Amino acid sequence: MDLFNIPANELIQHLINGLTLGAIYSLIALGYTMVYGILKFINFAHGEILMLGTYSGYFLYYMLCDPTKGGSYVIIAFAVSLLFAMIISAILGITIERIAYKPLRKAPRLAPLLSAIGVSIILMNLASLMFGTKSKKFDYPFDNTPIHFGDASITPNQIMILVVGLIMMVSLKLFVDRSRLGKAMRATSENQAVAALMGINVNSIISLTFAIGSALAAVAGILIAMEFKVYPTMGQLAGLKAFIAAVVGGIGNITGAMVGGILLGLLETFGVVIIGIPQGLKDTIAFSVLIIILLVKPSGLLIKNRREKV
Amino acid sequence: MTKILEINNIHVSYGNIEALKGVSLSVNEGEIVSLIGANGAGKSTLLKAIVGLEPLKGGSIKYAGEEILSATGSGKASKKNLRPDVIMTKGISMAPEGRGIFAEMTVLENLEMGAFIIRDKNLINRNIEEKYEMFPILRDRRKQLAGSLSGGEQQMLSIARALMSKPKLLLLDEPALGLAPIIIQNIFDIVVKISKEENVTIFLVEQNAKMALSISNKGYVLETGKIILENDSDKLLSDPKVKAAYLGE
Ligand SMILES: Nc1ncnc2c1ncn2[C@@H]1O[C@H](COP(=O)(O)OP(=O)(O)OP(=O)(O)O)[C@@H](O)[C@H]1O
Ligand SMILES: [Mg+2]
Repeated sequence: MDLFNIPANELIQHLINGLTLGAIYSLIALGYTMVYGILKFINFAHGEILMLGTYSGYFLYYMLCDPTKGGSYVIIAFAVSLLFAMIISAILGITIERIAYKPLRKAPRLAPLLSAIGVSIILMNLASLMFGTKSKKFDYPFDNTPIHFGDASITPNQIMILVVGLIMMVSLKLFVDRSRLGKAMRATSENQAVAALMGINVNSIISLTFAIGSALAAVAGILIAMEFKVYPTMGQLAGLKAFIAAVVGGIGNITGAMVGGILLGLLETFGVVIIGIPQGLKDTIAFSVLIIILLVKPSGLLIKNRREKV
Repeated sequence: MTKILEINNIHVSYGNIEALKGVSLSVNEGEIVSLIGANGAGKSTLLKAIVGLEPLKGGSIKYAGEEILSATGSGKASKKNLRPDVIMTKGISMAPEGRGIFAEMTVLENLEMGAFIIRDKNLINRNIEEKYEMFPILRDRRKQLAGSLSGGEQQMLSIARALMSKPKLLLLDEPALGLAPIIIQNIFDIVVKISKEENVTIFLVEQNAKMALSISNKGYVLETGKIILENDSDKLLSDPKVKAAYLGE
């Protein structure tokens, strides 16, 4: 199989790399899309929620263990830290919504958006002040030597990213589609007033949405940290690209965010190898895709069914 | 007879527009009470006020003897006011104007949302089964997205959903709106049936005065935010003012 003259083994390698990158984008994109689905607003502080969750996980991890020693205790410490990061991010997400967005719910659309940008900048600066701007290494809890198969290879961390990403996305989809609260979430995103008439506490549902989206961002943050370190602006570019993934998939659509993230990861990886875009210009791919999608299909690839009757 | 709903001199405004200018009325338990009025009279505003979706600028609302909503002397909604989702748990349910179905959810999921406050899965399933008996078309369409139903079917879904929580007081906002005469008849027959069989009090808001008054015990006429007439429904039907303005006779 020769696609653009790339041998099959290399193709598999790029596929693995693209999927892992894409899984991370998807996890972050879900937070943007879920919040948009309910509040019709982009939470521009999402990247900073990711960053602060990652820092909290980082600090607990190094407090609990010395990752370089290895062993099963380190893996347990890592799992605990991951959970801790998720909880901290969730609490942070809920708190930011209560303080900075909720009072602006009836204000013009631009107000909460500006508030979000403000929160984002404040949190980033606070993090620089408290933790320093120097990036911190986040050691793998396991031996990350690549596993070779044929001419391709996969690292244990990549396997973890794919497995964790898959578990998170499948559980979220099941939760939203099947569970009582998930359905209440969809009802609330369609019509808040009518949802309230059903006895649904709309404020709790909004908090729940922020909690889930933020916890997923923390997971993505930890996964990124192991590949690229922890630093105060780590949420910026990742957040922006995940936002693009959410728009590409159709903002407000959960499956769309998953598909958009994977697609963006694959495009970035294959864009470099197939079209030969220089590595340094890799980031332009995401933004070019965004512009093309906005021109061709502004509502994103997976738009919701709009078949309401009046 | 005990009053299940007592509305006492309520005022509601949208900005500078006063939509309700001191409305008082009451609904007796077990009855069907209708409120008729033209476009923009304030009918929907009144229903939204009862469920807590529009804040009161004045007056108070009592449900089953308990004050659920009121305004302070300075024209602000009281801090003690119950939220819509809490009022709902007390036993007031509404099929809102324009049906308000969740178009992107299935018929079955819409019914499940109506039973959101019930935790007992068996009870929910029993209620769903009851609603399917009452509206067989909903059973056939249960897996279909609610947005793809016809207008009449959506109205049935809206009413069925409102009944899922086993309310004591059902508020209906123009259930006949935009439907063909034969479907309207069908809907009103069902309203009567619900009143008899479900042990629920019904407060019905309608522009279709003839239909509404013919099935209700008592009627009110709302005109630009004020109640201008109230009487037994059969008396209103023969009232010259009602005849001229609402029955086109
Ligand atoms: N959200 C709103 N903002 C501003 N004005 C409103 C709003 N909702 C209603 N109004 C105004 O309040 C008045 C009463 O409206 P309401 O919807 O209660 O009337 P209605 O009797 O239900 O009419 P219809 O039969 O057309 O449904 C109208 O003048 C309307 O324009
Ligand atoms: Mg109305």
